[in-house]
Amino acid sequence: MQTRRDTFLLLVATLSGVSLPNVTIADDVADYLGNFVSLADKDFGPGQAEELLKLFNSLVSQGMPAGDAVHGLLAGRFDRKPPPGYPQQPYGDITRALSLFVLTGGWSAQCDPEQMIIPSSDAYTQSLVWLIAQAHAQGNSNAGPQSWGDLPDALSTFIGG
Amino acid sequence: MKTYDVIIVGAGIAGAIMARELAKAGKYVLILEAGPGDTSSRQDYMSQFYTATIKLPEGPYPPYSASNTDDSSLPDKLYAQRYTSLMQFNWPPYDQRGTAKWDDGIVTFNKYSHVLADPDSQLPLLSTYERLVGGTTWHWLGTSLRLLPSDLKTRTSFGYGADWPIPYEELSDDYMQAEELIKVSADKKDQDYLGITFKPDYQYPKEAIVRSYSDQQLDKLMAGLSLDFDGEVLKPSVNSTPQGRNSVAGEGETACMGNNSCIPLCPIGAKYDATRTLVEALSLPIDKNNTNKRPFVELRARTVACRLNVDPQTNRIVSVFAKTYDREQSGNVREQTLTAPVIVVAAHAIETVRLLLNSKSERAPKGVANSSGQVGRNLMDHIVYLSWGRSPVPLYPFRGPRSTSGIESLRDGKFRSKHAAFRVDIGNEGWGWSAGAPATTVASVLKGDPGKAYGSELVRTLNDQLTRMMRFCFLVEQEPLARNRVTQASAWDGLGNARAQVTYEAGDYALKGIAKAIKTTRAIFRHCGIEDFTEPNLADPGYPSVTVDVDGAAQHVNVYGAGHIMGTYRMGTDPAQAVVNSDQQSFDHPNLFLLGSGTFPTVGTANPTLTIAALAFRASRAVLKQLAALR
Repeated sequence: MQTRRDTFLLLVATLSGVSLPNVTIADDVADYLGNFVSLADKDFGPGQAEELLKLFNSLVSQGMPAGDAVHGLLAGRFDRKPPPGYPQQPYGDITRALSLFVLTGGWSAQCDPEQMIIPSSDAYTQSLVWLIAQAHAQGNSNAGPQSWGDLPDALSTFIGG
Repeated sequence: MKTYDVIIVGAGIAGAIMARELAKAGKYVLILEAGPGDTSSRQDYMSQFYTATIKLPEGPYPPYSASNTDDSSLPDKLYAQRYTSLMQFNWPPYDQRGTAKWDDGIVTFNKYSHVLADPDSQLPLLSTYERLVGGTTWHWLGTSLRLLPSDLKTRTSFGYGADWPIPYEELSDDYMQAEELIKVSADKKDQDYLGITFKPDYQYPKEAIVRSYSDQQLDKLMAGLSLDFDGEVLKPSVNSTPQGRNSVAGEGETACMGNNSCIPLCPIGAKYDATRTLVEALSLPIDKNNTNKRPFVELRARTVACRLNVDPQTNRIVSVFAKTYDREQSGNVREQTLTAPVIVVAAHAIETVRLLLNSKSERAPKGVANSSGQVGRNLMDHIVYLSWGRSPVPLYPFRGPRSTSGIESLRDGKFRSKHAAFRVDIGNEGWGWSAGAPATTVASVLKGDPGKAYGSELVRTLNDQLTRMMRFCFLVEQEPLARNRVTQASAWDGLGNARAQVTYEAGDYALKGIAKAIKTTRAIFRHCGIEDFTEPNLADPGYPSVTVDVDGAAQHVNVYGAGHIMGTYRMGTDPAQAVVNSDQQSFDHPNLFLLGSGTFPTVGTANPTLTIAALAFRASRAVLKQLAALR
């Protein structure tokens, strides 16, 4: 039985390419799910974030590989008319905004770095792009002194297998 | 009523050193600081940093950037606003360079910033400073380079600027004290170049910070490269940078963990800032020599020095008129007139000038210390040209201090008689500064082919791009120009003090240096196989630009400030041409000392903090000598 959070974590892991356990650790600290629902409701219309999660869950439950479902979402294959007064497109734009959010900690409905807001310190420090860069968020290093003189650990150590 | 031997205006590194040295000698010191003074605010500042989408140097510090976008917090209402780079740069000179106009056609400069620009200014002032206890050392990088001997003799050697009135050997002695205070991490053998020498038994306080993996790879890629500098052949060697951060932990000290956020803030205090020295000064024991049984140093934060009062008979500074406030605006303000035998102003190159010019009187009609008319003139910075590219091999940036090495071999040569020299700071933060990475990189990939914007393909693309990013920051020497200056504006702050106005341009000497920086980038990138991604942003009028001549072709490039505001009350030997003497003592008022980078006659290519500190030690000896004579 997939819980709502399980669905969200699988969606984020599939989008980002970061392993499910590592995504879970980040979300435990930063509450990306709670922030996402709140921010997306404001920019895409009430309930749109939940609709996305339901749609993704439904696609995967019907046997579609998660990667194919995410590809379809990003490609706009499941897009529909946005609610009145909300210009952004469910579900392509909302999926892209979610991806930018978990990767960088910054939310922009337009996927525009210049329009981003970062809702909390944890959203920034736990964001996933730093793992993909084999690094750490600025101001949040757990590496030892002078470690930057050496090669970083392998990418798989950062993003998980 | 308490009495003080010395009043110091400004609680940055120069004021802190002065206070500590005086207190150690048993003198009573009052420090006035315009900004807030809660030194336990590091975590609050970090929260501001994490949630800022643009990681500006001043972003974490009060008054906070967010409030600056609210018209109720405009500079005419705030009591102690400081300069911010949240500015609007568009004005007529930019149209001539093809820079776009703002959509609404406004030509406002600096609506939210404290300092105004003269309409004739060709550039905005590109650097910022802080007004809080600890000063701008909160957001400095930590680079602790010495000036070169030739930097002090540019008039004699290269025919520009003015020679410093201090023999280099004397400055070297004070450099050692400054390095000890800051606990600089460096290896002497890496710093022994272009005339810098060390005493045989001298060692830096801490071992060098290890060079980043990125530095080491770039050094290998550059092997064998030679550059032609007007007939001189120079090799661009990569040197480790002396740094004001702890390479190793010590008693009560944390070792640098490579947080990569040195500008604007070290989260763990491993980078030196002046609060360390202030804490030391404030906690000096009240011993048997302390007859008044009170601390030697008293610090009053949120207290703005508004005017220096001159005795018309003796020409000495007799008092400081100051205002203490309890909130950033619309709060209670208490006025006070404070006296001491010696007054030290260490409020940075803009605020010191503002105080001097705001202190006009019948006895000092052009402002305090300004009989020469030189106060405010010769404003300088290191003009920054950024270049960035993609390395043929992974460099793994975004780790370590923001910079651990530089190309220092280009800081000097006969070419300086024709164009500016520069040093090259090699960044460890990818294209963070230059192009907003990693957020811009992520957004670009997400907006591309949906089939490549998720999962393993996304990881492969981002990892490939982010791990090969490199960035050079050329810090270009600027010559002193009398027309580059700080003056009084016809606008006021929330306390009723006239704000500062700046007239500023790069100048031909620096522009030629930038042209050489462009050519140097091209030569290095070509040799190393680095793909050049340097792209000026001329479409956004928020990015200042200049036009330079590169081998006969006009090229528009963005320029930035290095945060090194210098030269506005220079030292010298001739009272008609300079404001202070080699001890930083005013020619006009014998009991007034002016500290900080405003005293630099020329700027060379070294980041200025170490020199500011060295000169503060020199000035403290002069103040003690004067106090002894007064007895």
